[in-house]
Amino acid sequence: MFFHTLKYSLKSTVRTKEITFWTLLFPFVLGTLFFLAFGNAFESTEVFSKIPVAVVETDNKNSAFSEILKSFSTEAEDSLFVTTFTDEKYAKQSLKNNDVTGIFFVGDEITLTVKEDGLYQTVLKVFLEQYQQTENTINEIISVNPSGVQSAINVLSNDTNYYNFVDTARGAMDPYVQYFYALIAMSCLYACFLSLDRTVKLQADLSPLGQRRGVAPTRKLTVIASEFMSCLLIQFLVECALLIYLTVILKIDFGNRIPQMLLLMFFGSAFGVALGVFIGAIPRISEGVKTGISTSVCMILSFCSGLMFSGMRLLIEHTFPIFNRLNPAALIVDSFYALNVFDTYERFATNMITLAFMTLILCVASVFMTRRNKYASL
Amino acid sequence: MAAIVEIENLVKRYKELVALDHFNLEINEGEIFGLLGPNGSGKTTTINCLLSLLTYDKGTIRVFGKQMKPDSYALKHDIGVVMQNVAVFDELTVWENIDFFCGLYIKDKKERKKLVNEAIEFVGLEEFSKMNPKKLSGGLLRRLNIACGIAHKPKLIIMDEPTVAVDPQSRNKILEGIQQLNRDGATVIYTSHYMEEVEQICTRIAIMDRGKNLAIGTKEELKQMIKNSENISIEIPTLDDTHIERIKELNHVYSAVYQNNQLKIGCSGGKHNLMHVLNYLQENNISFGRVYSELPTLNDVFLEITGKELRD
Repeated sequence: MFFHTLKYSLKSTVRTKEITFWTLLFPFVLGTLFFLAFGNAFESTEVFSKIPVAVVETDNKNSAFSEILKSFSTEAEDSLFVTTFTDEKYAKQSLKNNDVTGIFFVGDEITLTVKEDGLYQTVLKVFLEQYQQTENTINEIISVNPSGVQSAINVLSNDTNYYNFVDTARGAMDPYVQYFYALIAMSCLYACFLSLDRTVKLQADLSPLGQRRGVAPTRKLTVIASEFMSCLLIQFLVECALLIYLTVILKIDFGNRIPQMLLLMFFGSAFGVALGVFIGAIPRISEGVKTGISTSVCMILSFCSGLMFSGMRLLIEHTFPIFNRLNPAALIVDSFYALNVFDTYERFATNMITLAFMTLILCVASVFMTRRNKYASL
Repeated sequence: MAAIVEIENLVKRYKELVALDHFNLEINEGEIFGLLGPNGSGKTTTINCLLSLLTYDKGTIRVFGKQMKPDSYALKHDIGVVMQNVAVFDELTVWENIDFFCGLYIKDKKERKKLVNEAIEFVGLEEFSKMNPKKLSGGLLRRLNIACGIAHKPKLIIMDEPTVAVDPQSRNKILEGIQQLNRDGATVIYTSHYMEEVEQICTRIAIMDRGKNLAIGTKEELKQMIKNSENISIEIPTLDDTHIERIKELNHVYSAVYQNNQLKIGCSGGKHNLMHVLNYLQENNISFGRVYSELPTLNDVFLEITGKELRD
């Protein structure tokens, strides 16, 4: 029975065009768009040079920022900036003549002025944002728990030091790769549309097919298990295809830990499928509402994992860190990041266990909800 | 004959609405049993309760002598269901759909293949076996729906309005098919609000309305339950009220209504009622045109029992 249902579930799902588009084609299309949008950025990265920047100090209230800028503006080859401390008039003239990429005005507040959009300008912007976030975090800790400041500084310093441990044989540390991590995470979550469709077709109160299947002499658990497996198989193949497309065709550098990435995508897909089964199994909600819930959940989780703005995860980490620990999309992104940055698997394994545990909870809850075979109304 | 389905005192409420009101029913082996009633009378609710899809507030349901529960897999194995709405996978072909549903009952692949081919032949879909349901006409789709429900050769077949929105040709094919299934040994429960169909194929009929079983019996028994035994209709250009009253006084005539140049007379019992009426018209020099005489239909039965037409 399991394999009979599995066979036809696979056939039926693969042939459902609407579902195929969202789960299979959409991530490919979005990946291509990302690639086209960041194309120049990738090319620029290859000939990356120090960014000339002007600094105008209006007072000494933020001298720390100037000091940090100086530390990133050394003679070393891998330093980030060439910094010129000057007055406003000269800085603006330099910006106009393209002698500098941007101007930092350092006073009560620190502001950045740039002439156009581009990779270098984005780097300046991200640099400033990270400084401000770190500063806010430390200030907050000082106000709440002054004794914890040193520990916090250590943690924040460690975050920075991670860059020093990058193994060049692994993935690129280009910030744009994060978008592709988030894309794969979104694609994993999109598995919920596959399983939602299949679950609805199992419920007598939502579809005539559910009624017909409800009167057949088959155990619901067996049917759900085979539907789950078919969705997982399809989604995992989609993820593999997406990974091949991104790495082989678009040449995105994800590093060389392929088996671990496959494992990660398998766990991610399993979560997506479990999410769809769970939403599909919620009683007394129409199929339209369930689709709406699935779409919203996928988009919100993907957004929070950095699909539209790569700094989102960092922002959440500073404001509501528990959400990053529970957001499956963020866990997938973080796992990719961990695979490419760390030598050890500690962080990767923690994320995998969390993801597996959440998948298990969704599965148990779904079985609990769908085990009832009788309905109050059809 | 052994009772295959026994429903006792079944009550089903949807909040304030009582869908089944102490409903009782017994269906015997080998019957084509018709559940006749207007839309909303409780036919589909009865079927869904019988199949353990719906919860109910009170009563007992026994199928093949055993209590029917959601996990009564052995009982379900011998039941075939043709739902009111077409329930097939749009993405699978005709053959695959039948094979899938048959496979929920029959594990052996060889046997299943044979049964699927027989079902396709039975509903006349040989030419369409590789087509997707979306490409089938409404009638062919209904036939596929039936094939999916009966391919595993069940002992009890439940058909819930299988001919809704079907063309006359397909309808005849479906009705002939149901009679064939019955001849092959299946007991059939057939719900419909088309009285002609029920009258044509059912060996016993229950008339239900507002969740109650109003009358049960063969079509002849049902017709004997009402006083109407003959409907006479005569075209008359003009007719005085005096004559209408006199016609009402004729033997066995219990009603006479003159409307739109048509005189409609209801008779209860007696013989040669038409001759008596025509004699009266001739004796009184009343000219008349076409004359019809019909035996009562199930609609007359329903009308008399419930006071309303079957198809509102």
